[in-house]
Amino acid sequence: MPVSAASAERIYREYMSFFEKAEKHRRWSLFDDLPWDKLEACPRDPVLALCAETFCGVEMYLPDYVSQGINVMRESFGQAWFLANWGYEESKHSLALREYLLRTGQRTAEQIRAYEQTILAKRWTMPFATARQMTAYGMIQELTTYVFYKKHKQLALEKGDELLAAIYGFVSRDEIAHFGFYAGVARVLLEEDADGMKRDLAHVFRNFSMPAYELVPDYDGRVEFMRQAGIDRGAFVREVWLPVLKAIGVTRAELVGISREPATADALA
Amino acid sequence: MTDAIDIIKLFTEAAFEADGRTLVAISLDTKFSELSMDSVAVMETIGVFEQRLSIRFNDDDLARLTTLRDLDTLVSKIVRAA
Repeated sequence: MPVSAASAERIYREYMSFFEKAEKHRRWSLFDDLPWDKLEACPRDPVLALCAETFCGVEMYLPDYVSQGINVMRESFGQAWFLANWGYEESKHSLALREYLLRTGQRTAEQIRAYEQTILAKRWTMPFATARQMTAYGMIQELTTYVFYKKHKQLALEKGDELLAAIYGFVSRDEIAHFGFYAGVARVLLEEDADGMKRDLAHVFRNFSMPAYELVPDYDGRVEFMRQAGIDRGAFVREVWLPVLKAIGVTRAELVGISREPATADALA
Repeated sequence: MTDAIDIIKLFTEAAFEADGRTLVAISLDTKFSELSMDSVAVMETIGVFEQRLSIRFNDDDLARLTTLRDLDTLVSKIVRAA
């Protein structure tokens, strides 16, 4: 069931607002804005390199994220166009991390190619079935990713890697903007069908996990290092769950007693 | 333990209502991280808890809870202030 014409128009406006800010204030260049002059001073820290490689691996599933995401959103102009723009921004994230690993000499081109082949040998599949559930998922995932990058930026700074910190800074700024768009769409969907959206939100929260982490090669071996700047239960509640609810104007009390079942699978948005 | 409020019993009932989970052998020193419940299920359980006691926890306090004893202390504080 597609959203009403009025909601579709509001979602389009959300996208135009997001896109205007991105074009006027947020665009950054891999070539001109990253402090490559700090390259020599980078500490060549194996933990930082492993974490950068892991983030790069997650970002490498871009073809799956974009193709599957756009298909489920194609009837919503604003969301489909958002995903096209999102794909461009995310592609820069993996390129920046890849170039960081190569230019600092912490990985060779052959190692990167082998990693890429291993990554792409598996496919990411959408964790939820409908556009509305994927909107909730996108909102939670973008904020969680923002929190991760923000913490890893701090870790990079503590270890004296200003280049990697700058990359994480630009990436995290993109991620929080993506969260803002999804939150705007979620508010529209709440007005359209409050009960259905809340059910889907509760369902997605209950079943949320970060995308593709389980697909990254040797993730179990990496997770210990990733957790040096990770999110524990308390941090997830404090920095993701509560801010998501606040951003879309849903109280904790409103989620109590919400059905454990998601809204019908044919709800498109 | 909070006067007249059995935190463990109430939390156990709330966990069943919110998450369909039967908690056994828990004490005030049990950490939420030991309950095999994800953070969202814990928050939903606390939501049921609030509803039953007709109280409302501050979000910042909630994010700092680690054990059932912390929850007990928080409930005592709110009940005393009421």
